[in-house]
Amino acid sequence: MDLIEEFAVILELPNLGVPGSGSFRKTSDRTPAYNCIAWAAGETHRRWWPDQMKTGYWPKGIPRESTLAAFVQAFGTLGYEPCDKPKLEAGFEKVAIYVGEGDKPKHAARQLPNGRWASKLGDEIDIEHDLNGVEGTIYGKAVRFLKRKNEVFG
Amino acid sequence: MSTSEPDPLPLQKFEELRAEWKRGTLGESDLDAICMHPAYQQIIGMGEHALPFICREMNEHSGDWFWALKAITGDDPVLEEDRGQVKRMAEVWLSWAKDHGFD
Repeated sequence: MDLIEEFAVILELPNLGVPGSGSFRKTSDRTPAYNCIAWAAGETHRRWWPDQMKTGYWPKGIPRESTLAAFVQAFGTLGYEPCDKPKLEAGFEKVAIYVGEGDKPKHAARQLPNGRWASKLGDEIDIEHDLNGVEGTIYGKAVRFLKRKNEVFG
Repeated sequence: MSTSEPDPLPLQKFEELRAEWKRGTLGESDLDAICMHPAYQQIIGMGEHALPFICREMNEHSGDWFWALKAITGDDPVLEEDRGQVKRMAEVWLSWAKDHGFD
């Protein structure tokens, strides 16, 4: 993906800001090996998604459906539990689930120890950004937050 | 790999649809949305004619071709434990294609 394509994705995210403004930064090159859900789950070797043709990975025992409840349960298999707010909290790492029309999950981001968020943009690059930086047409809005203990977030 | 060149007209159609699909799903993670894109569905509609082109794409560029392969062939050689592992799934499907004369 060349720079123009990178920016084409970025341009669909109006809250992300201007490249070089400090509002976001690229943290990896393009790879199709993992997607946003996998990245939020801490994995880089496979893509997570409950697609009906069963081509994506989905945790066993969790309903294979694109609902907020199923995504919360999927992260629950990694020890995440619902929490009220996305604010950085000592001793906990957080995940944000973004939904589009009909509350259909579209994206997930993982909180970093500095309080900002990490997202994989489909098959494209990873970026570090503010919570609402990836809100927009493609990924919807962050509506559900989950947390689990992690001493790195001291 | 087969040494014969595919018919140029289906190839052109495939490449146009592929480009339209890629443009329309840039940045998308939702596999259902990616594979329900109209251009992708038209590629599926090409049936077995699309298989050599899909194989070449998987070999050279990777990509979410597994829905199309399952839909066109009616088969699924990928083990459950390998789901989501794009490189492994591509290897399995390319081996399947070679065994079935679609490479």
